[in-house]
Amino acid sequence: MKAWRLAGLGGQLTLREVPIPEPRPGSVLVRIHASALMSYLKRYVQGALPMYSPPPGEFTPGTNGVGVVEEVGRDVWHVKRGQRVLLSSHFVARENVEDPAQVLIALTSFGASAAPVLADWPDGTLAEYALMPIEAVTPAEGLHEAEPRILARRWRRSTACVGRAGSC
Amino acid sequence: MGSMTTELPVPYLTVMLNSLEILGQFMYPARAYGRLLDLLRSGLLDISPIRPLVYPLPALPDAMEAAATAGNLECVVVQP
Repeated sequence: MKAWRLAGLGGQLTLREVPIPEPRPGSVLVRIHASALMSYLKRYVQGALPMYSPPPGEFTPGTNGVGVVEEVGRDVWHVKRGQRVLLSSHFVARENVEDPAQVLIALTSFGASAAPVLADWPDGTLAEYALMPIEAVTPAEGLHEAEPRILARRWRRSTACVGRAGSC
Repeated sequence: MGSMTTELPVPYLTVMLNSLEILGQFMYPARAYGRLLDLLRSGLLDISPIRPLVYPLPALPDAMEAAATAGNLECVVVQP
């Protein structure tokens, strides 16, 4: 597949042919339809934003995007092949601990405990395919269908809670 | 939410006299995207004012330039 590869912040940014990633447990391979650019992507790529801690070595940049699930790894139960999905770069370690590590995939980690998480998920959406942890994937079907009844039901449920803090 | 690299000056007396609180918020709950899509599906959120500026994958350098100067209602996307 074609993928943009960045040799570290301030390094060379080149469009290259690289292998399509293999799905891992808890992940899906997504064929990218669109990758949305951050306003500061150019400055990030140039290394002008020193507060960012990028993945180690060469990686594929690119954060939020939209695409279609091409392959589903094991330990994924709801999301199916062929589903249209939104991709967020925000990934929180799934362990049930007090302060799980958080990263923005293909962008930055936050603190020492998050660096290994980003090293495991270094590559983003500026490519023909992206492998994403399932926690960062949201099904995005039926976007042109009105479903006001569902929303109205939720709205009623949420407003019913007003004044009864802790009961819902 | 949001990202900027400049300091945020705060009018101290206004904050203190009004008991204002300033909270930072890193990102959002994982279900936020799903709830946003609910608003779109129901027609309660009109995103038609947002104009996509579309670039092919090889044009990333041009797209990054455009993203740096895009307005609030322009969204620069790259399509493989």
